Amino acid sequence: MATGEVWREPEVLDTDVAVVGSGGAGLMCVLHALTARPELDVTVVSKGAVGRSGCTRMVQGGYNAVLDPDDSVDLHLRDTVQGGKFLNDQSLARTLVDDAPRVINELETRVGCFFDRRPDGRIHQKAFAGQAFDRTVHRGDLTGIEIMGRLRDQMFRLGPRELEDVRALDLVHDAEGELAGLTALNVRTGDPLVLRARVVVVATGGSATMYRVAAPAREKTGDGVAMCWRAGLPMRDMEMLQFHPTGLLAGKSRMTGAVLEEGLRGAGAHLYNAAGERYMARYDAERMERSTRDVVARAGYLEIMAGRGTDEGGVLIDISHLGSGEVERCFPGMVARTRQIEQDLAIGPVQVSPTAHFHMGGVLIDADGRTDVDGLLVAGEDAGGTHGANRLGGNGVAESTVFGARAGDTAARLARQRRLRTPERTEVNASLARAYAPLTRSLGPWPFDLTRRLKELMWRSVGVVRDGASLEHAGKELDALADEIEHIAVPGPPQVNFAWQEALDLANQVTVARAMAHAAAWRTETRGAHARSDFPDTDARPRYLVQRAAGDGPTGAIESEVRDVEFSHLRPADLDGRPGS
Amino acid sequence: MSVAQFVFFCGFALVAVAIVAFSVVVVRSARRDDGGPFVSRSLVARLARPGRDRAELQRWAFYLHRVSGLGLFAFLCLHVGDVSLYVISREIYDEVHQVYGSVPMRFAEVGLLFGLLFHTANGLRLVAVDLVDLGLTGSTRALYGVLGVSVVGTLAGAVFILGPVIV
Amino acid sequence: MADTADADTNAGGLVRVTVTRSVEGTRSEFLVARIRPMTVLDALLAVQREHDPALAFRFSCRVGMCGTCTVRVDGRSALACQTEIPADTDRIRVDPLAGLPVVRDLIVDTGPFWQAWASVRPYLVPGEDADVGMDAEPAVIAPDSAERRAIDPALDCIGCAACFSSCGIASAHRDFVGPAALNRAMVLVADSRDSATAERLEVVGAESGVDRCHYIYGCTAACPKGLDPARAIRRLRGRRFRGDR
Repeated sequence: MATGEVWREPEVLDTDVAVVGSGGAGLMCVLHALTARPELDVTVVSKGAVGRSGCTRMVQGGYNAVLDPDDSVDLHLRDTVQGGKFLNDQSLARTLVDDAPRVINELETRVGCFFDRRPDGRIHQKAFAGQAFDRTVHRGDLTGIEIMGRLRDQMFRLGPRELEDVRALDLVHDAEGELAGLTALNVRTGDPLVLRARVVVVATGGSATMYRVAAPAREKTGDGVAMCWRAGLPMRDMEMLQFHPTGLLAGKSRMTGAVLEEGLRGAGAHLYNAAGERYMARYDAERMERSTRDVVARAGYLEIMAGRGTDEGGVLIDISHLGSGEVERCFPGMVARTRQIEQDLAIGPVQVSPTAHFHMGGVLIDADGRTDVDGLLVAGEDAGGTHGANRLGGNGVAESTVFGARAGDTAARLARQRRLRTPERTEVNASLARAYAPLTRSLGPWPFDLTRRLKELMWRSVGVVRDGASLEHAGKELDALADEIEHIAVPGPPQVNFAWQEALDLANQVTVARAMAHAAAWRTETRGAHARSDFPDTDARPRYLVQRAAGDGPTGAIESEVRDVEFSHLRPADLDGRPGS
Repeated sequence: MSVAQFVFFCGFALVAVAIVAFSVVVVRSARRDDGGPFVSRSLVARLARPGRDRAELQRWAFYLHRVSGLGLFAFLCLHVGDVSLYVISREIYDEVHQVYGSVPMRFAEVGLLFGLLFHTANGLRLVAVDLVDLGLTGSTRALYGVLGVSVVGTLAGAVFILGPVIV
Repeated sequence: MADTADADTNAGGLVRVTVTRSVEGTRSEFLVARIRPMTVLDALLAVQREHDPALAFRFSCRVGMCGTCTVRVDGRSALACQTEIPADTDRIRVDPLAGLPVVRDLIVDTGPFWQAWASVRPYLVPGEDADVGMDAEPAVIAPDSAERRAIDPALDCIGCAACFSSCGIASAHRDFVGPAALNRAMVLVADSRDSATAERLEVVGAESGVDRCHYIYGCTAACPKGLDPARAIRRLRGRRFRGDR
């Protein structure tokens, strides 16, 4: 296919640092790169509105950081690794807990965030599940808005180039095989773009939207991970996808999947199946509803799958026994959210279901965000290893901002060493041909039904609880889907064409989904978020699978290698006899 | 009708046309530019419910404030003109001012009175909002007061203005 | 692309959705199946999925946090994801936001809104001698201090521009920086960590600043987060004339 037939000659833009993604990780990266070297030319590429897409914005709970002298980073590390079932890359977890308090300082003093205060005027920290100390910094129950709103405002001070509504497509290399930048697509005009960059930072966020019931924002379709996958980067822990136990069920409404906060269970909410049993008694008789995220999510899923759920495929959460006034006082946001969907948390049970929430797996990085490819950095949910098999509530926004900041520092350094390179013409054309293909076909399915099929498949076969047979089935189905995606045809012009954009999202989702199903089939144990009904036990020695693309195209082979987790800071034996272990 | 009376009448007609034209401009631009609710059954239903929804009335108060402001200004210009006739000729002044006593003019004066009362009271309400921070519901309630004062004041005035010609 | 226009919209639980398109003056009507519960966003998604994939609108988080799906529902500026279509409603009309140039269909260019926002220096400007960065200590500010009490209820702005569109002054292109920007300005003016108060007061006191406000309360009535920009504007005026916080 030649240029000019379907797409125009791409505009070429040169920049020092190209940041893909404008959530917490992306904007922290810009802040740090431009603070370290204000003369740098930094470009933010964002599929949605800059600073207003993605999930950092949606953070309700808060931000885990050690601020209190009675708390310690060792304790935070222990909570993180214990929560991650010892699958964590401990050097990344260590970096997270060490840097989190420093980033809080920066958010307060430089970025201007104004977190809630204790009576003595210092930053207030609240309790959060799975932690030995109250260390979650917050701003009401809309912490994400404060962080992202203020970070967005910093962009007015720093003035990076903002490419809003621009979708990054692929990483491209020069004739010597060195990273040269990326191809992109302006969603508004439908025109292609080549960004030549000294350093590329990928920070687009995860891919949990590929499940039928899912919590994240619509942009989160695994674009960054898929982009790195196509570029042959190694990934880890791809099977580790966290489900939040209480996502709202709102029929076919898009509200379905939105999270009802963890605090409800903490405050004494009960969970019932359709028969009116408090089913948690069967799964964790001691802690009941206050058990950990993974256990409660799994229990709900098993009830639903065993046919003991409601007609809509959910279970019921009920906190009305506390009295409607009390519920309204303690959880105003949650009550409002349920009333919006014609239910009412304050006066009766509400239908919930586990909801896909966060992808722990991703690209292998070091503590500075560096990857196997020189000049390519990855930060935030796109990277794997920090959280291991399960993420603690409050560690997510910490990860985005801590590693975003570090990637920004690294990028500022690297930009000095690397020069601008010219991407190979053939590589650029191949990337654009792939992207524009759905527009060129006149006959073929629209993407919407295929997306629905993917979500249903992932929910049933690579869901909260998996088994060998369903994973094998999922593998085949995903290959078939990947094939069908190659035939999608979308009508209309290239300008602001959402069917086309959905087709591109879907291709990325399926790419990530294949890696997830593949890794899930490999892990023949139950650990953290990954539960196998055919292998309910946990191996003594935690290992992880490193995967990379071995063949071209959406159905290309996957190459993998098994590694042992390195206990560089903590070993399982260190926790014996400790409270909470 | 004398020439002077005719000229004054034309002047007053101009004022009336200005008011109508400006009202059309305000309503049209309200429809095009202003992100408030369209006038529809659902809006009427919302306004009928007590509570925050009624704050929407303040948008209409703003339109009325603008229209009445322009009307009063235009009329004042005319009025300054007709009063200053006194300097030129007492006869012409009397002649022109007889028009104020005619029946249609009296009706127009009732309208002017309403505009004057509403514009004044609403202006005072805005000053109050600014000084004592009435807030959304408080300022809506104050608007009820403004409307009450304007309507009652207009009715009372109408008795004096229209009384001599109707009864 | 008008769809089966004359069918009885009550039969079979249908909702008639009228959308103003970007081609000057055209509107499209669609019939979509009623679901329960149903938001305006659901209706727009149904149109895009079942009738016209080219219908352009923006959304992201669908839980009222990103502030990108703002449209006018029967004229009223609101978040599509937070606006329910009540059970007794069988037709809605959706328009793009007022006062901002339309990019396509329901998508507007929020540029003017953000320019106004940027004009008040919306970011914290720490004092010359303030300690800033990763090793600086956050300021000690009591939760019941006047400062905190002024700022607290004015945070959580999601920049959705519903107030801008709903403001009879800002949306009508009368050179007004608008409620959201002034709310942000108030937050920073009240903040003891900030040192650009004088400069900011100059901006908000200038011609396109607080004096343009006519207390229509369109902003406060429209804010999906329950903020009160009108009060922030009032505070800024008070600050300018009377020197109070």
